[in-house]
Amino acid sequence: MPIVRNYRPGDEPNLVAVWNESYAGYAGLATHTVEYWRWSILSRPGMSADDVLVLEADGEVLGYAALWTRGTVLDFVVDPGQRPRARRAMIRQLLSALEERARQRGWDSIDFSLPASDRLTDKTLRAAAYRVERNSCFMVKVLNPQALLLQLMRKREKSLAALSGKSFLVTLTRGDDPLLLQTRLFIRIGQIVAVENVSDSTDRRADCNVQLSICALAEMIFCRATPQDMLRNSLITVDPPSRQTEVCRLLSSLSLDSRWHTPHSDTF
Amino acid sequence: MSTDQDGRLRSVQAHHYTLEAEADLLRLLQTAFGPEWGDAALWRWKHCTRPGFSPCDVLIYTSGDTAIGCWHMASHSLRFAPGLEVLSSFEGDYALDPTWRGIGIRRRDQATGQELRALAERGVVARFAFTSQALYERLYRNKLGWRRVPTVTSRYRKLLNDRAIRSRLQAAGARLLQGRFMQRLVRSKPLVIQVEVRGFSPCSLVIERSAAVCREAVLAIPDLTVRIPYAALTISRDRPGFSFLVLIRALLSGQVRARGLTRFSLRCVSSVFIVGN
Repeated sequence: MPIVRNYRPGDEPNLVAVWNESYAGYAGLATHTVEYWRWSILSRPGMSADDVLVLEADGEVLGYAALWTRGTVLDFVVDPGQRPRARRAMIRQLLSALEERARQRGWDSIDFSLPASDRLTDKTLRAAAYRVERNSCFMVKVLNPQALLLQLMRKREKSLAALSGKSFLVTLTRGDDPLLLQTRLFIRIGQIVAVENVSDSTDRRADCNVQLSICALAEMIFCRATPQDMLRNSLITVDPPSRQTEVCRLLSSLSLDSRWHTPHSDTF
Repeated sequence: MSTDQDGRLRSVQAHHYTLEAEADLLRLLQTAFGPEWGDAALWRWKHCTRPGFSPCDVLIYTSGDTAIGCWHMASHSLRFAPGLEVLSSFEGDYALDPTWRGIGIRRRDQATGQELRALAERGVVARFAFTSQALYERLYRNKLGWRRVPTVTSRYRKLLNDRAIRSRLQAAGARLLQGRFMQRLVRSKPLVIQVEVRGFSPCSLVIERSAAVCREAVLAIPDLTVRIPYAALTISRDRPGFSFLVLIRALLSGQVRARGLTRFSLRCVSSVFIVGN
């Protein structure tokens, strides 16, 4: 039977390990280190180490919660490797201890930021009369499209194999973005994918010319907009038009379909 | 843009963090966000003591000797997909002196352009920030080119004590009072509703002509007594379909009860037909 106890110095590596394991499948966050955890949780003004509650069974850390001022829960993790029934019981146990601690502190409410895609936690919190809101807006802007495309395409080289030998000249326009650092990118798909910033050069020729705004590019990469829709809405132009299928394949490969989560403890 | 605005914009310079600038930074943030933004200890923790902090992460805009704005960043690797971590800049705590708003700082000034080039040279690939939905639609999307990333993050909230319940009920009473019907209803005398929320102490919501107050003590003869489940009290206006289901479920399961409905109905009728005439 797990117990809930207060944090003790030396717990950090285990707490960080369970946090990293819990969020391994998510995007929008970084792998935590002990140094980062100490800064983000323990050193936070108004934070008391007594408000870090550790869920433990037989000396093994199975989860923890960190409660900050006015009932803000900075972290709440329970080992995702547990069986659903056991995990639900652990979530309830930690939740109950957390609410009790918040009441002792005299705080009026308790507040979590958690991924709704963790269905078990979501259901357990709703069953415990938690109200759910989705009101914050997490935004992105692409600063260095050359570096971003290069990293994404190197990661997706397999899905680009059908385009081997092809080259694309991508002209980027500002769209709604007042500041654009790169305006032309040359992409060559070969054994190694190459993306060059050719903003200062006008003599580069490619099999296909693509024009789109930097905002449209961000929407396709981060916001699940499809190149097909973009083409239909004339947000992308392709020259020659016969290459549209290849451009769609190229741009589709850039889309990030991970679940993005922004925990309280990482909120800047 | 007028010549005057153009001249003001040209006078803007950007500097990186120095110890002497801390007082100005705090003043700007507290002017923009109110004292609830936090104090010097919070600022120092959030920025100066963060692992990997660089003075380049804090940008202070000045015009002459006066600090007129600030912008904070934190660069670190962000996971874009399993196995793909990309150096990104998290930005926030952007504050501008009210007299300098609306002239295009961050959109048109050269200092911001130079700063972004420097950021790219440091290897930063993408920029991220948080804002409210309203600001995103009004400013960040259309004027600054930011795009919203769909996240799975939800905020879960629960009220823990009687004081929080009373505060919530008082806010609901104040909203009700904005309606013309309620204003008529309380024109001649206050409306007293005794509210019983399961798991919490009963309280009295008193709606008067000028304000709504929720009191701890239960008054002897309320105009209406209602018993509601906690879930109904926390209904979200953002999800009307779900809220409707919660209400129906609460009604059907007998969790919602009302006493004094006849008296209350008569008062409603008289406020419409008698006072109204």
